[in-house]
Formats: sequence, structure tokens, C-alpha cells
Amino acid sequence: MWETFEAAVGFIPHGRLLVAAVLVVCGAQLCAIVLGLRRRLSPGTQAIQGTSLLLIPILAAVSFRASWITTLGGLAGAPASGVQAFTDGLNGLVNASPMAAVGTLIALELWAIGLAVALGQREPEMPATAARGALVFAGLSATLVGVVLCGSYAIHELASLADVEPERKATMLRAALDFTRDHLMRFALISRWTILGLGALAMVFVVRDPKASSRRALARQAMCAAVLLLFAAGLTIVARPLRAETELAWPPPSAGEYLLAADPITPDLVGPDAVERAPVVQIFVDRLALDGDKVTADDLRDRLLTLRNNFILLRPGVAFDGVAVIVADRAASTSQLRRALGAVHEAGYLSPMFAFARSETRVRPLFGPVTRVHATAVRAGLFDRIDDDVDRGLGKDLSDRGVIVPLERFTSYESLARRLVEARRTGSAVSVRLGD
Amino acid sequence: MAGPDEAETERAPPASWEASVVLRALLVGAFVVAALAANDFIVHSVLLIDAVLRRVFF
Repeated sequence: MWETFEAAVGFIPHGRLLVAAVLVVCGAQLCAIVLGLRRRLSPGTQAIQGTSLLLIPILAAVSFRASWITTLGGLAGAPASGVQAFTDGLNGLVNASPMAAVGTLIALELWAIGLAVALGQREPEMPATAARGALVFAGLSATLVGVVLCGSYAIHELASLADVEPERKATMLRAALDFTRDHLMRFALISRWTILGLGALAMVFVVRDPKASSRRALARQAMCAAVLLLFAAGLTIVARPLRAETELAWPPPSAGEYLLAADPITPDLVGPDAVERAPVVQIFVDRLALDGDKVTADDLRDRLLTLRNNFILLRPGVAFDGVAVIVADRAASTSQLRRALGAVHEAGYLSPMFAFARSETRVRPLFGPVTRVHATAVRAGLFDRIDDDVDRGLGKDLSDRGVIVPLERFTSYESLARRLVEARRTGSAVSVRLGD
Repeated sequence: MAGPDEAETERAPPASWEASVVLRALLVGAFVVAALAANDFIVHSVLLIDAVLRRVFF
């Protein structure tokens, strides 16, 4: 148990400092209670006692920020180090959350008890009212339990994603998040009603109390109520942007779309096929790129050959599928396409997927604009005159090439892509024939 | 032995029972409002992690 706790603290940026802050703040609240029972505390001491509560959320915010930056850095970094940074960031967020919530809640409860004790020292009739009032903070217990349970469940589900295929991760994670969110909201609802119930109970005692308070006691009660209402107003103001973000629903995940590149601007088409994981060849009007790296046509052929050889070495016995994802500028000319597709063909990638990307941007209250790319594709074959001669010589059936689309008949990629989509939508296979 | 404040309190004229009930109810109500605000804050702080994960897999 202690090892699990230590591991959890280790995941949190400034985790030991956060634990120390929780212990110090709760210890200070306990000392204030004990001292308050023996003698009356000065207003300055009480002010320090109340202000010290802020230490936990401030340190938690610093820790959250560090985890958040690590998470974003992981997304932007190289694949190998990026995944580790991303996982570290998420671990920090998921582990810091229940710890900060539990620490804040315990400190709040102790502070409320200390407040009741302090008020009791000032006014003989105050303790009963204040203690009854402070009791409503016990209603937060359900939320506390919910945070711990949902946090544990989320950590477990995140860990289980490690062995899941990449295309299923988003859907599974979303299902887990929906589950934890629903349950946390239920626990919060229980807390809300418990608080209201305890408040109503305290009200009954207040109304049935036959004693009248002194004017001085009433003034202090009013001041205490004002402080509490200010505290509530502060929390509400701080929670407002969080609420705006968390209450705005996210659109459904885009299943089976892996294309992260939104450049170059492809024809505005929706292909009938789903994009598969494969090397991404970007054809701009003035340059070529492979998986984001600028390359010449010769480099493109050589690197694709290397990738093909790696595939064969790493998957002995598995037939090479020859798939490369082609993301071409809608304004790319036939000669540019010929050069790039020629390199793809020479490297042995004979089943290109012509991808069409549409970017979608949503403006979130806290995160600002966030963008994702919807991608569809046309699966096609790729051959040239020599393939024709060889296949005929071998007596192969050429009808499985489906609709033949000669590249030289088109002046731009836009018109070629339209023809490919039209042909593929009829349900038949489609192949691009490279000219001489 | 009563301290100076307590003695002062004892000497202070008592308010009406109605005023006492209203002020005590106000105090209890303030505790309720503060607890509800704390509950809301904790829930939305935790749900922010949910939003971060959804943002990452958007």
C-alpha cells in the first residue's frame, strides 16, 4: 500500500512538496483546533490558519501545469520520447487530482471545525450554530469517495490501453472517461443533496432553539456568514472557466482516421475507403515529403525501399501490402504526380491510398481552438507499361485492376482525384496507369 | 471566571428571538452555500483532467 502511494507521488511533479503541504496545512489546522480549545486565538493567527488552506490548491495548480506542459510536449515531440512524456504527463494529472482533492477536503473540514471552536471562544451561543453549520462540509465526503474511486478506475483503464491496438485506443478511452464522468457526477449529486439535507437539519435545530442571542453575537454571526459567502463566491468565480470547459460536450471521436497531416490542401472530396496506417507521401506543388520530412523524388524512392525492407524483415511470412498514403495538393500538376508516383511505384508500393483531408476546428472555452483532421481515401492500384508487358507475358488476369485511369489524361490532381472517387464509388477496383 | 468579552456579551442587550433565528439561519445557509461551492469546484477541477484527455484524443 505504502509502495503504491510512493509510486503515485513519484508520478506527480513536485509530488513530495504537495504531500508535505497537505501534512503541514492539516497539522496547522489541528494545532489551531487544540489551541482554540485552551485559549482564544488572536485574529492574526486565525487569518494565517485560514489563508494556509490556499497552499494546497496553489501547489496542486503548479503541479497540474507542469503535467499539462509535459503532456503537450509529448504530443509535439518525437514519437519515441513523445509517448513517454505524454504518459508521464497524464500520470501526473491523474495522480495529482485525487491527492489534491483529498488534501483540500480534509484541510477544509479541519478548518471548519477550528472555525466553530474559535467562534465558540468568542460567543457562548456561537458554537452550536457554527458546529451545526460546519457539519454540512461532511456532505463533501461522497464527492471525495467518488474522486478516489473514479481516479483509481481511470488509472487502471489508462494502464490497460498499453496493449490495445492504436485504432481502438480513442474509443476505449472515451468509453472509460464517459463511465468515470457519469459516476463522479452521481457522487457529486449525492454530496449536493447530503449538504442540503444536513443544512436543512441544522436549520431545524436553529429554529427550535428558544434562546435569543445578544446583538454582539448576531453581528459576529453576520460577519462569519459574510466571510463564508465571500469564500463561496471566490470558488464559484475560479470554477466558472473550468465549468464552461467541462460542461461543453466534445464531438464523437473520428474512428479509423489516422491522418495527422492537414497539408497540403487536398481536393474537397470524400473517399469511399478508410485511411490505413502506412507511410505518408505528401506531394506539394513545389516539393515532396515523406512522413513530414522534405525529400527529393530519389530520396523518396530510397526511403520507401528501406521501409519496405524493414517491413519484410520485421514481419517474416507476412505479405507486403504495398500501401502508401498519398496526400497531394489539389493544384499539383500531372508531371509532379508522375514524378512522385513513379518513385512510389519503383519502391514497390503498388496499392496507394489517395487521401482527402478536411480539417475541423472547434473553439473550446479553456483550450481555445483545437483542430483535427478528418481523412478518407480511395484505394487504387498503380502500374506502368512494363508491368503490363510482364503480367501479360506471365499470363496474369488483368481484369482485377478494375477501372483503369491513365494519369496522362488529366491536367491536375483535382480532376484525377474526382475520377478515382467516381470510379471507386461504383464498387469496382480502380488503378492508375503511369504514362511513359 | 468570565473574560472581558464574555462579560461584555453578557451585558449587551439581547436581540429579539426572530432576529436571532434569522442570523443563525443565515450562518447555516452560508455554510451550505460554501460547501456547495466547494463541491462544485472539486468536481470541475477533476473533470478538467477528463477534458485534457478528450482534448488529446480529439
